[in-house]
Amino acid sequence: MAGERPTLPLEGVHILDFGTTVAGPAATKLLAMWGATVLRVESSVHPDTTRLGSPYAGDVRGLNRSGYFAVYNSDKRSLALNMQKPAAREFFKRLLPWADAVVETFVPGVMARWGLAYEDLRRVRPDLIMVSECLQGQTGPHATHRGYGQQASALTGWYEVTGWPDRPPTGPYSAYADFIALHYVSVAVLVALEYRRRTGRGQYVDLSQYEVACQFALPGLLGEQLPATRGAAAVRRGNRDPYAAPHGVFPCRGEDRWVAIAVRTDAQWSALCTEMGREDLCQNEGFATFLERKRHEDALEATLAAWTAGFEANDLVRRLQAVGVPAAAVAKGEDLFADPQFRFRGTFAVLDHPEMGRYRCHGSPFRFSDLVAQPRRAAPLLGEARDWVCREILGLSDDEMAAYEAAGIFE
Amino acid sequence: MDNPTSSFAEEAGLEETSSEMANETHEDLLAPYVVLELATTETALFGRTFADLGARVIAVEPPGGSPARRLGPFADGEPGLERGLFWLGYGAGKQSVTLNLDTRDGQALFRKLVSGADFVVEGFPPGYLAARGLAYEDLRAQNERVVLVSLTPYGQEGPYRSYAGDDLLTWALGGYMHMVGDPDRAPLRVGLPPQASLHLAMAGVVGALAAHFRRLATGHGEHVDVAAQEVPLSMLTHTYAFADLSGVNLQRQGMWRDLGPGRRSRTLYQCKDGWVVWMFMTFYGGARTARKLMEWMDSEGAAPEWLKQTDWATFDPAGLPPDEVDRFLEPFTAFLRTKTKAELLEAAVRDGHMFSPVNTLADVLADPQLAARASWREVADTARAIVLRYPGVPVHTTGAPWVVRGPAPRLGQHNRAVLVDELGLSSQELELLFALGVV
Repeated sequence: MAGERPTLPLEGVHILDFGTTVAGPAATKLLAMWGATVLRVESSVHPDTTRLGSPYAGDVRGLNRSGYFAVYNSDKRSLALNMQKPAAREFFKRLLPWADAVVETFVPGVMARWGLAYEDLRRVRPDLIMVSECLQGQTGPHATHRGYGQQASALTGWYEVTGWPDRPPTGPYSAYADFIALHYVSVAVLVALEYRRRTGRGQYVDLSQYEVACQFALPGLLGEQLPATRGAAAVRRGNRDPYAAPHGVFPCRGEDRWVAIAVRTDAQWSALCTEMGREDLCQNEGFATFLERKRHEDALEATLAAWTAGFEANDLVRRLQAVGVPAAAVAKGEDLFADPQFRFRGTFAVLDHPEMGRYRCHGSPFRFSDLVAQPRRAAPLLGEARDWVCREILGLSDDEMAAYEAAGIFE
Repeated sequence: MDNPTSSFAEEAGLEETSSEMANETHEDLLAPYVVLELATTETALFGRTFADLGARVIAVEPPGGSPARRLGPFADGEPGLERGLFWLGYGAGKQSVTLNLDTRDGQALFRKLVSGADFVVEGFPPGYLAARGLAYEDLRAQNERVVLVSLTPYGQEGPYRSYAGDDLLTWALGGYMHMVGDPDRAPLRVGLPPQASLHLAMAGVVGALAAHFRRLATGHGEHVDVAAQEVPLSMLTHTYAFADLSGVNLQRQGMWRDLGPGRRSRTLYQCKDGWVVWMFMTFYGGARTARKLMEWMDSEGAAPEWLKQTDWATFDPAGLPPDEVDRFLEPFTAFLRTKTKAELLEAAVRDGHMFSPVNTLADVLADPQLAARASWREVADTARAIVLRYPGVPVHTTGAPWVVRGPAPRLGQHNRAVLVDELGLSSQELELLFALGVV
């Protein structure tokens, strides 16, 4: 192997991954991309909901055809284990000497019902790291609150603050708190590994999506405690920003095409006015200073929108960025693949999947100057790793494997 | 081939852990490490996270203060470098040293600091540090093991390298914004800005730790290049996959979520005292709770016969044609309007319904769950005479705490401790550097 590709920093880290949907799988995807061996433990009896999530390759439904699953599970292996069967739980415990970390995202209590609570697992592997990620944490009166990132985002206030001031809330797209939690899950695994390296001790990590989402609402939560700032953060502003004007998303030529523009300095405003052929706006009372633009923000936005509507978004962005005006086209799904910066960085890998064929898969948001880790291997077929696990990890004999097979645990 | 019983530590050839070390219980998760944070808005949560984990974090600020200090709102509504709640929040537990990196003396002192640092994090445009003799190669000449983490809008190279960035632009370019908001208006960014900077910082923490593990094997540091534009891609769930596999661009649909051609599901519902998020799950994962909801509604006479006859194990509410959806949802929307957020949360906790109240930030402060988990930590900031409750335990850990460590530093609070006591400047030299605007 050595010499074919550089050694990735997390090679040799072994993770047993019970994570489902987004936060857990997205976190372990990142670790797998950077070299960890991640073995998903899943089941066709109760499949990960993303395996049943559209889109499907060729628009044909199937447990091994979901693009939703495929983009979050690159570089992993999959072991199908029906945890309802006691023999499957016993089999799982045999994997613990191999594992450095277990990641799970069930509603609290599921692992314990299977006899696989942290205390049970560390009897087998004393220095095990276990990360439990769920909606509201493992303890407390609301521990059994079931849900996804949408539920956690609602708890933390994102629905209340995302939307138009004159309309009901709309909220952020999809499972927003999952997208906060995913990096915290990765960090939890890595700092626990680092701690174990120095001290020899494993540990249990109880990660509540609600609590990590609160970290992203911190200034607002602090402001809520002081009379002068109470309520200041918790308002829907559309796209307006207290420190920029104009600051918004403006129409461009074509169907549902938009450009985002954020002007924070006099120089940016002057450059924008020049591009608009409206140098007068820089002198014009009403728009010359930041405070004036803030006072007349409706008129400012209307003037700008009337101008941007005549342009194709990408042309306008090139023109504005060339003179230092912060501007970006609002990308739709397909636009992402054509983005020049993504293409330059090779952000999307194309992976070859045994059932799906070729599909695009996003890479790591960070790279080293001398090492770029990108997805290398397509998401696993459900249960594809059985033989590898039995023979290479556990060293089972044919008879032992057949006995497990007969017990029907690999489903 | 992987050895079934070997641990990561053994494979990486790392030092043996002695029994004394194994008995050490009070060493922090990242206790041995020193982080230099060239403090901007982008780096704030990066530094705060390392500080929470027990690393020593020195915020290196220009003499005029980090831009992160100028973000409001401000304590007591009084603007000032020591009163911004963004700074008080994300600066917590750090030290502050001022250095003017536009001066030779500032650069030289920074290089000296780098000699004793394990991580440096910065959020400047590409080339900014190089122009000051502080490129990664320069830092590495000073300290071979140092990891430099650069947080930028687009990365260190490429066609957008010199493009201006902004929180708003990150959401637009990463494909996320297109999915947020009402279909009849412009797409929206996520509330409580600057959210994109916070995601960028956390991606940077993962990158820093990955570089740390590589350093353990190679003995040298890394330049970690983190691009904000790439961060929202892991938030698109299946959006770009629809474009890739089905040639479909999903659309923003306000309170509804687009699930592809002919399929969508509603997320937000009005209840008696506000709004509630509800995801109506059926099939194997949701049929049981759907039946429980039927029982609840039926006990209040709110479940019409046709609804009770539905087989929830096979029924797919997201697949209903648009003209039938409203009729189908009508009994639910009517029922939810009779319930408060608290009642719906209680039912969710008890029976597994996917209800969640649309809280305000004030609701979060009063939440019994966060109180029961001791998630709040009071930070008494005596210098500023401010006492605030922080959501101070981001993650509950048994090995050593992940917890807020104390108030945010005042500007240059640790100049003497760091520059004189540690780097060996004389008091007179410190005075001179102050007079010259270096510190």
